[in-house]
Amino acid sequence: MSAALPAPHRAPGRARRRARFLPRDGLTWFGAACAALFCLLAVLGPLLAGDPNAAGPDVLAAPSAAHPFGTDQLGRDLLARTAAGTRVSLTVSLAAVALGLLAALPLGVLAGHHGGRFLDDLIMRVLEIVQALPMFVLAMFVIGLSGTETAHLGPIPVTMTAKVVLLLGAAFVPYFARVARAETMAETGQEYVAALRVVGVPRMRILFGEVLPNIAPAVVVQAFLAMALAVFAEGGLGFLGLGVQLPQATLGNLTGGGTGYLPAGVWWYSVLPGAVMLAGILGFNLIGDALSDTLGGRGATHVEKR
Amino acid sequence: MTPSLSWSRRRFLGLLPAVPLLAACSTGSRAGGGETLRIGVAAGPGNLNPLDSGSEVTRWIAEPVMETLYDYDERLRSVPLLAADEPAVSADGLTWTVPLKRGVTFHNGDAFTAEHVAASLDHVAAFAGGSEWVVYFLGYYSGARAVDPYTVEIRLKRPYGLLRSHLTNLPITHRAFADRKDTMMGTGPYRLERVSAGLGYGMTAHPGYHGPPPAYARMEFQIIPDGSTRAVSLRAGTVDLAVELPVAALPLLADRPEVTVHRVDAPIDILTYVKAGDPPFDDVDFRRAVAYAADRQGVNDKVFGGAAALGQGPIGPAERGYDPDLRVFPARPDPARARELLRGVADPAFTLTVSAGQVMEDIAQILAQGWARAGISVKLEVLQGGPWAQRWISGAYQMIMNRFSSGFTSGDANYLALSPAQSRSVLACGYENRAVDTALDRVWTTADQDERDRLLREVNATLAEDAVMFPPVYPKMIVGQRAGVSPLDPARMRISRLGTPRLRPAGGGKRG
Amino acid sequence: MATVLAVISLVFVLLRLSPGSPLYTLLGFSYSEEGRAAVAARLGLDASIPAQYVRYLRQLAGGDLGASVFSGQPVVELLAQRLPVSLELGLVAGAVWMALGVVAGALAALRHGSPLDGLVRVTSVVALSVPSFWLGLVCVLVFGVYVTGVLPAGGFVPLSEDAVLHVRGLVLPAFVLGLPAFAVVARTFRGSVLEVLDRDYVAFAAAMGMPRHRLLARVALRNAAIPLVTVMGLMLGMLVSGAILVENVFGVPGLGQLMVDSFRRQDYPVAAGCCLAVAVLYLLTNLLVDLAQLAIDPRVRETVLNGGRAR
Repeated sequence: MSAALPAPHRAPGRARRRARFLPRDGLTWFGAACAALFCLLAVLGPLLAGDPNAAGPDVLAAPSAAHPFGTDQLGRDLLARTAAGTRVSLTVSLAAVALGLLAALPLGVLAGHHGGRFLDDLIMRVLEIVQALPMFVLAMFVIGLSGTETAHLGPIPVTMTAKVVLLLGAAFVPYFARVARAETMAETGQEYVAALRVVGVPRMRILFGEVLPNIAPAVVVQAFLAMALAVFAEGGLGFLGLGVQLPQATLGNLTGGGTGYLPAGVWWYSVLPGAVMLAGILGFNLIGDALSDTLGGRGATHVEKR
Repeated sequence: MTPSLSWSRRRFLGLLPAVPLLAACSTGSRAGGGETLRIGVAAGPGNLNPLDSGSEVTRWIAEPVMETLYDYDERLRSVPLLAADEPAVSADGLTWTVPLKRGVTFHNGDAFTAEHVAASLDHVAAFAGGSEWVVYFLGYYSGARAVDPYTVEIRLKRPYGLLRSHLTNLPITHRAFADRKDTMMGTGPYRLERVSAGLGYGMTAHPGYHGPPPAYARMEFQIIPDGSTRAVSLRAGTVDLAVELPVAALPLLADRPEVTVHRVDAPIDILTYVKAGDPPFDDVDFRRAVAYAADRQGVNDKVFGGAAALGQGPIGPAERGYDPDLRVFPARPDPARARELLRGVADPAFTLTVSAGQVMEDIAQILAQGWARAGISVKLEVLQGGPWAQRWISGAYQMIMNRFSSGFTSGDANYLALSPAQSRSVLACGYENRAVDTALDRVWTTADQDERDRLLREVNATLAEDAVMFPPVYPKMIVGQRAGVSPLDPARMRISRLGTPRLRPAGGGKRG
Repeated sequence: MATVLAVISLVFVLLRLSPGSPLYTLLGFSYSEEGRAAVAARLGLDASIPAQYVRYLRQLAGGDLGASVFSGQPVVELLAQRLPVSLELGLVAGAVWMALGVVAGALAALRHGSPLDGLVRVTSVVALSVPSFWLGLVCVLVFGVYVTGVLPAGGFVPLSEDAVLHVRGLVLPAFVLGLPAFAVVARTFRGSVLEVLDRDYVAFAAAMGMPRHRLLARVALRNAAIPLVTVMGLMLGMLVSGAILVENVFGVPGLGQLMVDSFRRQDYPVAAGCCLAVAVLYLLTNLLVDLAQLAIDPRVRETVLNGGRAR
């Protein structure tokens, strides 16, 4: 999977400006269209396509006017299920990215500010350990252990959906934190920071009032790439049966659920929900790319391993 | 009978294609002019010791390798195999003496003697062995010893008529292998030669076999996790036998004269328990409402292609005590009746816990829809094998379901599945009925099979009427075979077995 | 080393905290308190958590990863069976696809702005976005149902049984598994070649009359390879995660499948062994990456030799 996805190394400066040519924009438009389609399906699809759990008499029916995506083994409309799954996918991904950002930004900014000193070392070390287990292994690990049922953290029930969000969010922390750290290091080296400090602005206000907004573009780029990753990971977990559980449809459990029928030529069950997933991933990736070109500045080139 | 078989299969494909890619594996193996019998199974068991695990796949693999003291004949009567004669039971019923056959050797050349039998029995009766049989031996078994090399003596703490059934179903292993979980050592016609992790199991004919010489030079069990892929492999001829064919894949095999699909009533249960000791299922009307609103026909049609028998009580058509005339619940949900029974219940709802796996998940979703029509909202909880078993054992469930096959531990019956109805069982579901307790005790103790069958029938009816155990359907065993192999024995399939030791090449049709 | 220890501890703690227990799976119907205690004693699960931890560490130090709770097979043996399969798949996929990625990236950068460049960029972004398990299924569908007989769409044949079938069986899994690596390498390399070509020293070398092919080979590509090496190191995480899904789609009995199976069965020692293997692999690759950087990049070499930290 595309864990540890580094931002594409972009040529800075003149080279990048030269790289602006039409196909690029065409591609970006295509990406935006994909992402928009994905989001529309997630937002409006469930309203229009009907009850995803309502079963009809037609079992494993091929796509038709009545069932554009066909039906599954219980006679449920796969378009309705795909739409419901897309909604789960989008919600989980948004929540996971938001969670990752919330946790990672303060860490990254602090580490960057204390660049090279103890706090920086400590934060980066801990994140390194989290990264030594690839994101997917980590997620499998925790879900494999805590089971697919609702877990209880003390009195707080953690549903399966929450678990997936937490895991993906946690897995994003090191990546976001690295970007934030690198950006902050570069930013704190700038003259305006020194100037503000001389004027007597408190350090925390400099960091979170001035530095943070300035590193935002790089972070936004990462957030889009992370969205793509989250859609994929949510799908992969669902595919392995370790994601949000039935009867809730998810793009992953639809793709996985149809596999048993592939040899019988039932292609639509697995392939169409997977194609929707692909549209989402492709869309977010392309938008992320385009953004890194236009507002990335230093940002994207700084994501490195350590 | 591990309740955890299904999860290893979940969503795991290993989609073998219809290409002759495995043909090469078998062509190289035609030793001594014989052929290879190739069998497609769904999973590789974690534990290969058939003394520990009654799971179908372990025991299918063990069938040609391991033997039992007594075997089933074509009418499912128990006849001596490794034993020389019927056991002699002492007057108090506490000492059983079994004479053993002479001249039998294990695959490693060691002679089959009484001490191996004693070691096998001791293994399954010991807690630390982790054997599934331990429940059967607990409280009854005292010990076994070799009186002489060809006589084994079994001592009991109290009379135990069911022991005769166990002696027919419990494989006998070499004593040095009783604790091994990674291989098998038996006296059967085929010897386990090779275990390829995640791929399969290879066997060769045992030249010193004490019975009729094995018909195949080799036997191969291939792990093909996906059901449709097993069907495709069978069609393509890369396997000769395929087990656990899903109904959805059967059209792939239609109009193929060289392939026969057997659908046989077998002791396969959809275990269905409700926690009758706790709300909401402590209310018998609630239980009945749920049972009336279950869509048995829907499950049968959509999950089993209409091939299963509709469920009533816990005992199915291939099991002792089955009553074909028992009709308590309708085939289609009866929401009106259910609502009537639920009058006074403010917000009928419960959680259904099922084991992971396509079949169980599909069943649960269909049932949930039926219940929704009766105004009962059901939360679905899908658990992997370990957590599922934990819930079941700890009793932390409202309604719990799993697929379970008992043929290898109790032949044409399913004694253990009824245990939760006993108020003192470790698996007790909270149901208290003195008559059922007494009857089930007697089922285990008595040596009179007619009495046992009668008691089972009574218990089955009671449990259905009280809506304590009401499986939606009784699935059939579905096995496909190619014409190149002699027809599978219907009697063996009735007890979930393939009868592989006796299969031989058949004239009908050359294999691909 | 500290990281390995941390991973071991993390794995251990998470495993022991999990609500499920192999005891339940193992005992099934035959569960009883007595039986549980006896089996727990046999498996050493009755000791206190810290005691179990210490014993686990001691065993690890002796090269003993324990044995499967179910089959009793030593974990080391299981890893020895499964790891080579995954390594072969990963290396084949990684090597072929990364090589292609380097070529594609270089060509795209050198023919900057050409249709070829556009093609590489479109291909790579699509390759990066395709979910591996979905692409795997599409391959299974195409080669298993529609175009049968060309390539096996699943089913693994050990090398020892038939070399040709073995290699044929690897084609599709390797194709699917390596695709994202291709994408990342192509994108990275294209970017870094462009960047290097923009640098003053390249312009200087060109102005000094260095022939173009020598300029590219000696200066541009060599310098552009530095970030590439780093990215290749990152690819391992991708390959491992990808392998879990891809091995399951194609039925390749590698580490990924073993890992999923052991998690499902809650086979503690095997699950822990797999995670450990992954972590060690990851750290080894990082080490190799650092060494490679040392070899390629004179600046890094200098920093290290001067006792500084290569950052």
